[in-house]
Amino acid sequence: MKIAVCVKQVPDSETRITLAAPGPELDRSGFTRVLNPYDAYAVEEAVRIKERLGAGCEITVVTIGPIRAVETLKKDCLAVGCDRAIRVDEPALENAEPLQTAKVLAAVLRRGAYDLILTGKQAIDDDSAQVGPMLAELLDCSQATVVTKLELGEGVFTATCEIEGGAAVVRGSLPAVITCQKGLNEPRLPSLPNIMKAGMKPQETLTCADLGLGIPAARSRVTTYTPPPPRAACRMVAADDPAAAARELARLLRDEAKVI
Amino acid sequence: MSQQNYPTGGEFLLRAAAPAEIFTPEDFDENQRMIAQAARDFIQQKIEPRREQIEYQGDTALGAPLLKEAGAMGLLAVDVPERFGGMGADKATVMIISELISRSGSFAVQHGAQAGIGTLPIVYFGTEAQKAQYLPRLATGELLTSYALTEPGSGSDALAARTTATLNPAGTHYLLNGVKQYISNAGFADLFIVFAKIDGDKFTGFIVEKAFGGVVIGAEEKKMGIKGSSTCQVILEDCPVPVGNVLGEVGKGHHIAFNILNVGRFKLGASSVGGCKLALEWAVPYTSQREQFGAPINTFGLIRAKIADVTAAAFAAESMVYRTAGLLDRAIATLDKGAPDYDLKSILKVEEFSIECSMIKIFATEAMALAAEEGVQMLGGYGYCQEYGLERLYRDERINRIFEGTNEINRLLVPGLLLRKALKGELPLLQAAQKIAEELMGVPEFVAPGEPGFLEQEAKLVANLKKTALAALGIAARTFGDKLKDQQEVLADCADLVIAAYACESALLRTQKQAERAGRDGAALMADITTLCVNDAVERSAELGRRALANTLAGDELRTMLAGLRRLTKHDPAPRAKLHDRIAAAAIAAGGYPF
Repeated sequence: MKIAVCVKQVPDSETRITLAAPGPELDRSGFTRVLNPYDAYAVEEAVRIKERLGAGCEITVVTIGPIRAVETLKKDCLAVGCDRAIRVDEPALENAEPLQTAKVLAAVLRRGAYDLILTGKQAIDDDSAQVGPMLAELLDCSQATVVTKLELGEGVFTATCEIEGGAAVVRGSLPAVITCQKGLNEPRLPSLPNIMKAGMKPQETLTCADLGLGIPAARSRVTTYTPPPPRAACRMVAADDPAAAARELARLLRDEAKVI
Repeated sequence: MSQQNYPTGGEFLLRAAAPAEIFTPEDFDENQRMIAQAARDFIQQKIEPRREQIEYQGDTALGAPLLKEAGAMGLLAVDVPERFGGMGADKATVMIISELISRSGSFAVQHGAQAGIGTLPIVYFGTEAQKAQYLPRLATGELLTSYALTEPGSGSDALAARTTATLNPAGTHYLLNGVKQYISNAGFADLFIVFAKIDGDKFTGFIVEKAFGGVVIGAEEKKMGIKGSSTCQVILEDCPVPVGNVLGEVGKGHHIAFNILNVGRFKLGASSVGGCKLALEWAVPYTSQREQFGAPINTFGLIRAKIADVTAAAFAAESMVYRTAGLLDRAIATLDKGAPDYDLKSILKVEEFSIECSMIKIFATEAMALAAEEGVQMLGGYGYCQEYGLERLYRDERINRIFEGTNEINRLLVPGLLLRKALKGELPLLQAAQKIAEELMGVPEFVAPGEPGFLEQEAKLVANLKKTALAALGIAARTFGDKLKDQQEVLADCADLVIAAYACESALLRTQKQAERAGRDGAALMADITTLCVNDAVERSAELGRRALANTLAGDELRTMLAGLRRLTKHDPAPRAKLHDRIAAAAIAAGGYPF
């Protein structure tokens, strides 16, 4: 079985974003970058499948990103059991929109006959949750999204998908794109010796030209980032007379805050 | 000067190093960055969810499963040679891991007892058979270990131990009897590195398995801090230890004990740097959110001064720690890695730097003490409450200045070891000191007025800090001779002078190295910190020097030397409030330590 895992390096969720003034650019220079947490479930699931199937199973991890993404590929993917890595280095795709990402990933994936393509249900930076489904459409294969349980049979998969208010069990044929949700598994930590050895596994760096692809056009762009409005100062309502205080509070909520 | 092709311990006092020579955190490679991140991930995933249980319910037994989880990740294998299942990592990597693991709190002490002092005696002094028998299982955490040196009656004076080892009539086993005290990990350890005296005087190391029998573990101590770390007495009652488990040579136990302490000291230095950063991470964001008098408290000068002073102390400590890591790695790199005695030779290289190990132990643990102290103060009443981590950091930090040799013992060691090197002819310290004394009695050189260059005044002052330390030490040695060891106050003042020189030079060189890489603008914050550190160190050194001289000399001689000291410590005082303001601004923007 050939498995591909598509991953993204994202800012750590504790990143402090500072914005001097509203504008189309964010200062991303001080960001700590990590593997998208949902992609970690995809990596772990691939490694567990490989551990079950043993020899003949190979995991290729694919990402689009600059040189700094190599650390994530090594530490969080190759060091935990992925076999090889492909990175598309294309500065024009920095902060790409979902369809651009999906088109480039599809071009990479078409170069190998993958039986199973795993990725996170969404990336925690832009939260689009679109790349997985788009990828399945572009590759014309089955898909299951927001998956919390995955079983593989001969040429088929059975996935439990989280849906509004419950779960749906989806059966489909391979190849398939599966987007992974928390609960699917508990990702392992890479061991230090494996981190040191990760650099010895094969890594390929490609550009869109190598893929025979023009850089896909963006259909939208960010015009302005604005910080959330500053929190207004707290107003205290004197509560000497509870009934009067409640009336005053209701008046303030209606007339000033205009929330009721 | 040394004939070797690398700088030896203490040599920094006599020779100005070039910025390119020293190792700095800006030199970490990709593997080191990944390992640091992996250690953070371990703490985030394995320790944080159990924080309450470990630190506030004092569940010391949790150390055993956590150590095994750390073992599975390779976090116990860093110092173990590759042929025994370890990583055989360089000292810089070892220190990075110590720094990061310190963020785990009590677990850091358990990690240190296992991967450091509990394992390293076998790495460095074990026979091949002992290494093969124990190291692979110590590296994975299958065997949990501890280090049993201290006794109820012998702490700093380790060689006064009363535990005895008596060879049985068959000559197959030593019977160990005695009490070991404050033994980290004792509650769950399978193995104990025990020191005992054979025939009443031959201080010797032993590898003792709990399974040998005759090992009784006392109750958990009720400690001020590191409450999640297991600390018990270990009582040995006719514990039979096979003669094959003697560690190192009979009668050479002190050799093991002192060398392991050296490693413990530099690791503790690194972990204290981690503690400084943690205190800033917790305190600085609070000062941004906390408003009083209608403004965030970090807009107030006295809070900004605290943030800046802690940042500067952390920077100097960090610079010293990684510079020392680089010195150790450079010295060890001269050894033949394939040689059968490589491990033993490498600890002897570390021994050459025992002065640096003691200096970073003192400076970094005291920097962390400042960080915890000011961290609590910045949080005010909240800092005094358990809900905020600083209350715990404040208690946990306290042990750092006590274990691995008290800071007092280490202060005596710094000048003591320097003078020993001088007497052995390894460092021409006394000649250098004599030259400085003559220079001080001569005509002062005329300094042309003008605008100083980038860190020019600081570089000159660092050179003067070294001269001050050398002069004070040289005069004390000349005056007291072999009675100097009884002059503890003079020795401690000399130690602080030497440490100030090493700290400031390490900060200065790191800043210069950064300026070579990133330009002066890219090193502007480091330059402010260096200026602050050097300014404060020179002012403190003036006082230390005066004290040391007044305790050493009298009359005209004292007055002459004091005049010389004034010349060495003469400087244009730095605008501290302005420096504080800029350094604090960077820390506030970063939400903690700004590098």
